[in-house]
Amino acid sequence: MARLRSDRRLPYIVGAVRARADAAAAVDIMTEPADPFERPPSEEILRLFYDLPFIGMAVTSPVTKRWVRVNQTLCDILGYSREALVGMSWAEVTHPEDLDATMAEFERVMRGEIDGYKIDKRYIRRDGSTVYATVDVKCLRGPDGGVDFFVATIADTTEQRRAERALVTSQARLAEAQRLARIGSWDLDVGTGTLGWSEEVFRIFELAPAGFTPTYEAFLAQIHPEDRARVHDAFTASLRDRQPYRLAHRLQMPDGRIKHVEEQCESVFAEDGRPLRSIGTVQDITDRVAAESARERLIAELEQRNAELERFTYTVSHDLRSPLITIRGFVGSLERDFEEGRLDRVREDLGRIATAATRMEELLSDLLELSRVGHAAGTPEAVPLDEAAREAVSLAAGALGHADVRIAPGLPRVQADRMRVVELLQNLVENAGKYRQPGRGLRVEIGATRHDAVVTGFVRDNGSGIDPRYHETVFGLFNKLNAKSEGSGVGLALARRIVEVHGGRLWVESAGEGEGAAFCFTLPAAGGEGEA
Amino acid sequence: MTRWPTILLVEDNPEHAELVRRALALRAGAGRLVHVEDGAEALDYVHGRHRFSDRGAFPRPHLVLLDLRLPRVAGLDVLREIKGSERLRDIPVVVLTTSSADPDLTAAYAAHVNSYLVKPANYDALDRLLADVRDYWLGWNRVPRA
Repeated sequence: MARLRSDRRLPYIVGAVRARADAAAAVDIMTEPADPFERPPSEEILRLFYDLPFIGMAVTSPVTKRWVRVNQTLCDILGYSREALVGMSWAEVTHPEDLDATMAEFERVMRGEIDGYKIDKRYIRRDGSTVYATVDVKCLRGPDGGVDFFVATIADTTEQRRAERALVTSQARLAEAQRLARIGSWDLDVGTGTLGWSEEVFRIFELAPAGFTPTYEAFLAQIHPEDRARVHDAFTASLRDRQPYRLAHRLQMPDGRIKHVEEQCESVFAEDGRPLRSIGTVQDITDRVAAESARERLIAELEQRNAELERFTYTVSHDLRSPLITIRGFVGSLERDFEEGRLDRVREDLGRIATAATRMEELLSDLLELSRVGHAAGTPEAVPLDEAAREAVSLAAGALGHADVRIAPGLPRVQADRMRVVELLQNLVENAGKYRQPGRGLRVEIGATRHDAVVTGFVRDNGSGIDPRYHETVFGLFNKLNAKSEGSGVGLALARRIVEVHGGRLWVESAGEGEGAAFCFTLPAAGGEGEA
Repeated sequence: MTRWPTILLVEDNPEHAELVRRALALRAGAGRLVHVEDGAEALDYVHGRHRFSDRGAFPRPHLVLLDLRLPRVAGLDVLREIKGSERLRDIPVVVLTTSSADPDLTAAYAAHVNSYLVKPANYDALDRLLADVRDYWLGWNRVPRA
């Protein structure tokens, strides 16, 4: 360029270069100079024109299709020496797959339909490699309209194509990476409001890219209504404070599903502080959020189990010590009785020792039972509650005495471990037997109703009732409402455990002391026919 | 101090109550032991209400021996109510329990228990402990005149 710039004929050269897309026009400039003084010799212009290093140029014969004149750039593009190239036909060096298309254009010119054409085609270089080119061809016709010769420019587009291909590949890779990571990206021109979404954003939002113009409003519409204001505030604040932000929020899908995403955004600002452009990412973190909440649920469950176990250990150690103190205490007292000759107390104290030993045995076997129930229930089966109730009542006959027991007919069936259901009802019935209201004949009713997949059963008595303050404490291990009542205080804890292992609840309803009590429980209903 | 000090024993286990009664060995004229079996009764007694409303028959206790695991109202709740009451808080409350668990100890002291004793399994030790309790709280210890 420096060499050319020093040339005083430069304006003509520039004129020629500007007109190079149309070689015929360049010829016109050469043939019709405005100022005869500056009229350059046309051969020199042509030579300069040919020697420009930017583009391949050639003149070809319409008859033989041979290269008649070629410039150095074309020789470089095709990898032949000028001597070798002149004399060859362009058809010989055209890529076989592109030959038909080129020939078709060539024929149209020859038929006089057109005076030139432009085509993207490949040539085979001398070394066998392929070169891509954009070829612009014009013809010069004689007075009879026949083609005298062709002038062609050949631009090497191999590099450009490689760059384009690399760009396409890199865009595909980016899209793939976004798909895998579930991270979409967006780009907002703050001034015009033009918003661009990557494919992955469309995928996360479950919108079809075709026919949809992303806007900030469209984005807000996707957000869960409860999170919308928070997201909008975060974006607005980040533009105001010129700070990037990051926040997680929910998306509300049209079918009711909730997705969780994490947004990150940064903006570019003009020198006067005006926001120019915001770019951001949106990542689908639904799976992560689900995993986290599952983990938290598990931790909470474990913590609860742990606390339960701690309470259990404490209660057991306390309550097992109790009969031990009785036994050792009265053994010590017996020694004293013998020393002091108080033989009258011996029989009584031996009785207390025996009772405490029996109680300890009961405690241990109840505890063993409780620990067995604490594990997963046995195989669940469809258990008709009335059958289970009849079995429980016959097992609890000792505790019930002459009570009036009524089992409602045709009770629904529950899906549960049969043995445990009997044990549950037996404990509730025995409990009724232990807490009678003095002076009132005991009456016990057993019934149940089914609602959808849940059966709610009850064991109701007219016994001593429970003050609402103690409706929860009665289920505590070793807790007894009355110090004198029979049993170890495990029965209701055991009953509750049985129900909980089956995924149900056990609670008591009672207006207060002397008012009777109803122990209610839920168990999963057995499938099959709907029952009342 | 009255001539007939009263000890209120709050104990749900009748055998333990009997052991405590024997160990205290209160002679006629040295004091009397009143035994209730649960926390609700204990509160009725200290407040002098319901069946304990006759203060002549059920005088204000000079000492409460309190078990922690009780039916209905738990021992710690009885303790909290006594120590939270302007009228009752000068009654010495001694926890006498089978539990030596730290949370129980901490909670009892947080509720201003006067003393915390763990029932010894050994009869002689229990005997000595309760004799000491009797002598200390009914003999040496001084409380404001009620």
